[in-house]
Amino acid sequence: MEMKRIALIVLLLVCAGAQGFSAGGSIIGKVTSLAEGQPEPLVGAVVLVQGSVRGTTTNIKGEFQITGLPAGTYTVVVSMVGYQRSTRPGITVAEGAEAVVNVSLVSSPVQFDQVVVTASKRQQSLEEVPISLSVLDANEIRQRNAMVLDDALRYIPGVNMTGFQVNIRGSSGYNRGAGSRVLMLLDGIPFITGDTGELNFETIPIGQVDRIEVVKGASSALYGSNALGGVINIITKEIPEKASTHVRLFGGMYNQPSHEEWKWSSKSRFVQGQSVSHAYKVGDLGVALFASRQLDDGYRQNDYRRRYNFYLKLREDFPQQSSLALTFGLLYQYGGQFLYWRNLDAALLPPVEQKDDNIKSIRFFTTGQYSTVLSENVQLTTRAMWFHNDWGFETRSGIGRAESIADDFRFETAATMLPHVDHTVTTGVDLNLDIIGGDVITQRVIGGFALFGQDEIRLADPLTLILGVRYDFSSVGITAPGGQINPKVGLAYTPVEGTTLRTSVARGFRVPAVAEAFLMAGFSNVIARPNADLRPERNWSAEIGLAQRLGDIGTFDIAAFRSDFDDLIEVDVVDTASNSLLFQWRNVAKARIQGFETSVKLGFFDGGLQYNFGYTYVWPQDLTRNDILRYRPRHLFYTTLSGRVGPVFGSTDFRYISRVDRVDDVLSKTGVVLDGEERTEILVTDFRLGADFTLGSVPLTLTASVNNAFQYNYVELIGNMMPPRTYMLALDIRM
Amino acid sequence: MAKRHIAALLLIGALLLVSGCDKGLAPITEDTGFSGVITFKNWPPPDSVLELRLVAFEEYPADSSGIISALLSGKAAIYPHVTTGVALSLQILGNKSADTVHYAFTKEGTILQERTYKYVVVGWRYGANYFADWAPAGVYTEGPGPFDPAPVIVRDRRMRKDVNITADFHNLPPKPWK
Repeated sequence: MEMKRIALIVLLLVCAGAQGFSAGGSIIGKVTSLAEGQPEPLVGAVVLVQGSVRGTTTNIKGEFQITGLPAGTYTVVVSMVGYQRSTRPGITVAEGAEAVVNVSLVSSPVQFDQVVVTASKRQQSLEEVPISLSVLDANEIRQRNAMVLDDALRYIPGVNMTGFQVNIRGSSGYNRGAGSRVLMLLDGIPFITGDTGELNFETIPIGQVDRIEVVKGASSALYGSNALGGVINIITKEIPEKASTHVRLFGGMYNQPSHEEWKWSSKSRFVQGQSVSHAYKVGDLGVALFASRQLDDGYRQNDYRRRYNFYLKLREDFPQQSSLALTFGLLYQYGGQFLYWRNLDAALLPPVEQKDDNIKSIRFFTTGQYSTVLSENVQLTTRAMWFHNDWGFETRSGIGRAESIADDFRFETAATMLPHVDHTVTTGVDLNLDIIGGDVITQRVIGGFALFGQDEIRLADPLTLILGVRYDFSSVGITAPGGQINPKVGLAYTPVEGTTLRTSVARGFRVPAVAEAFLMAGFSNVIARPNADLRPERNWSAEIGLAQRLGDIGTFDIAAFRSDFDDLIEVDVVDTASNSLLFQWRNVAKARIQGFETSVKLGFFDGGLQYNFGYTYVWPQDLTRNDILRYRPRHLFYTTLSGRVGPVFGSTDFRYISRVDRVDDVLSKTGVVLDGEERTEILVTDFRLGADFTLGSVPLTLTASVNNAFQYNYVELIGNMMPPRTYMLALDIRM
Repeated sequence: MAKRHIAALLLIGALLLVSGCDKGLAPITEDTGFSGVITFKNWPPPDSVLELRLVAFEEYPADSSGIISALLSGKAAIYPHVTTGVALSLQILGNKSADTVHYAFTKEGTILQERTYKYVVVGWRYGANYFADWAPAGVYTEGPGPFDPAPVIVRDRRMRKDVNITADFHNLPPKPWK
C-alpha cells in the first residue's frame, strides 16, 4: 500500500510540470571566441536558459536556437571548456518573436565553472554543486596514452586504484574483484556487471569518452546501490555537426626489469594498438562508429592481452529539443591470468601451477536514451540498457574451466522540473533485472526498483538547499528481500562570486554483488565459498568544503569528509586446507573513514602553462577490530605540470601514495601469496612530449610518453608488481 | 658562463634521474629457514637435561619414538643436527647465566626443507633411551591457547624471523602422543 502511494506521488510529480507547449518565442544567437583578429565561431558551447530546463549546444557555425519559450524575461548562460562563462540577464522574449543573443567568450587559462551533469542528473555549473566533484576531460585522457580508462583515473585527487578497483577517499579498499563501493555510470546509466558487481573499464570505448565526472562521497540518494564512496560518470562524445574521422596508432615497449632475478624473457615486450572512429550527420540523424584493437605482450609471464572494442552511436534530434540516442558497445578480450607473483625473487612470474591459466570475455551493451522537453519547465529523460557479460577462465591445476554469464537490464525515467522559480525538482523511477547463469554462480534472477526525488531550493540568492531521498527495493537473494531509504541534505553558499562554501550529509548503501553472496569457484588455490547471509552495507557520509577562485589564475578547493560504515563487507578467510585458501565475503566491520582533501589548479600565460596538485589524507579505522582498514593508503599526493609553446606541448605527472598499513595478511601468512607482505610507498613519475603539425592538409598529433620514468618497483595489490618504465608513441590523425 | 650553468643543471638533472631509478621493491636473497629466541624458565636439575634440540615436524609424532622415525624418514628436521652441531642444552648449560638462546634453523647443515612444519618444539631428552625418552619442553604457538601449535612455513631463500618459543620446565606443553 505504501509503495503504491509513493509511486503515485512520483507519477504526479512527473506530470505536474507538464503543461504542454505553446508556440512561444525563441532565443537565437551565435557564440564566438573573443580572440585577436576575427572572432571564431565556437562549436559545442553549452547555452542554458537559467531558471528553465531549456538549453542547447552551438552548431558548426557557432549558432544556437532555443524555441518554444513563453513570453518573458530570461537569463542566458553560455559556457565552454577553456573559456570563461558568460551570463546575459534580461533577455526579453515576446510571443512569436526571436530574441537575438550573440556572445563572445573570453578564453580562460583555468576552467572555473565547467558544466557537469552528475551531481543532480541535470546540467549545472560545477560551482553550484554542494559536493566534491572532479572532472577529467578527453584531452587529458588522450595525452596520457591510457589504454584502459582506469589508467586515467589514477590522477584524480582522492582517487587511487587497487588493481582494477577504484578507491575514492578510502571507501573501497580491495574486495577481490567482486562488488564496488563506487558506482560507475555510462552516460548516466549504472554500468556495473550483473554477476560480480564490478566496474568493467575495458568495455568502455576509450576513444569515445568526452569526459569523466567523479563525485566523491555517498550518492545513493540519487543513484542507489554502490554509490557509497562516490560515482564515476563516463560521458561519451556528442556527434559533431561536421563529419570527422580520427585514426589513432600507438605502440610501445616495456623496459627490462630492474633486477637480474626478475628477467624472465629474452624478448622485448611490446604493446600496440590502433583505433578508428568516424562520425557524421545526415540531417538530424547523427552516427558515430568506433573500433579499436589492443595487443599487449605484458611485462609479466602469462599476462598478455588481446582486446577488441567496437562502438556505435546513433542520435536523432527531433523538434522541441527532443532526441533519441542509441548505442551499442562490444568487447572481445582474451589473455593470460596473472593472479599473483611466484615470490618477490620471481616477481614477474606467476606460480608454476598458474602459468597457463587464461581468461576470455565477451561483453556487450546496448543503451537507449530519449530526452524531451515537455514544457518550458519540465524535461523528461528515459534511459534503458542491456549489459551482457560472458567471461570464463581456465585453470590447469584448479577447477578447470568455468564460465559466468550475466544479463543486466536497467530502465530509468527521470524528470527535471521547475515548479517555482526557487525550486528545481528532479524525480524518477529506476528498475533493474539481473539474470545470472554459468558455472561459477548458481543460476538466479534478481531485481529491484527505486523511486527518487530531489529538490534544489534557492533560499536566498547566494544560498541553495538540496533535499533528496531515494527508496530502493532489492531482491538480491540474500537472507530476505528488503528496502532501503537514503536521504541527503546539502547546502551551497556563494557569498561572493568565486567563493562557494558547501556542506552535505548523505546516506549510502550497497547491496552485495551476486558473486559476493553466491560465488563458489576459485582460481588455483584461492577458492570462494558462498554466504547466503550476507546483508547490504550502509554508510553515512558528511562533507564540508570551500571552493575559491584565485583571481584569474586558478582555483583552490579544500574539503573535510567523514564516512561511518555499518556491516562493511570484507573478504575473510574461513579455512586453509591443503595449501588452499577458502574465503568468503562477510559483514565484518563497523568502520570510520575520515580525512581532508585539498587541490589547486593554476594557469599562466593564457593557459600555456598549467599546474595542478591534489593532496588527500585518509584515516581509515576498522572500529570492530580497532585497526586500520585494509588497502587504504593514508596519503595521496598528485601533481601535474603541463605546458604548450606553439605546436609543442609537454607535461609531467608525479604521484605519491603512502604505503598501505594493511593488506590481506592471511594470504602471505598461509603461504598462498609468497612475500605478500612486501610492499612500499608509491612514487611514480610520467613524462610526455608532443607536437601538433600537418602533413599536406591533414592535422596530426604525435605524442611520446614515458610512464614510470624512474622505473619505481611497487605493488598496488598484494603480489602484483606494477609495470616498469614504459615507452609509448602515439599518432593521432584527424580528417 | 650561462652555458656552463645550463650544462651543470643538466648534469645534476641526469644524475638525479639515474640515481632515482630502480628504487622500490627488490628481490630478497636470504638463507632458507627460520630464526628466533628460545627462552628457558625453571630449569630442572642439570642431570635431567641430557639433550635439548629444536625439532620441526611436518605431522604430529604419534609417540615419543616417532621423533626419531620422523627424523629418519625426512618428515622432521632437527637443530642443531645431531651430527653437525652441539645440542642446545650444552650451549645453554655452558653458560649458566643465559636463559635465552638465539637460533637460526637453516637448511645448511640440517635436513630442513621448503615445506610447512605443523609442529615446532624444543625437544627435551630426559633419559638415557635415545629413542623414547623425549618430551616437548616448549612449542611454537601463536595462540589462542598457550600450547596451540602454529605452523611454520619454510620457503626458499626466506628466513622467517621471530619464531620465538618459551620452554618452561614447570609448565610443559602436553605431549601430542599418549
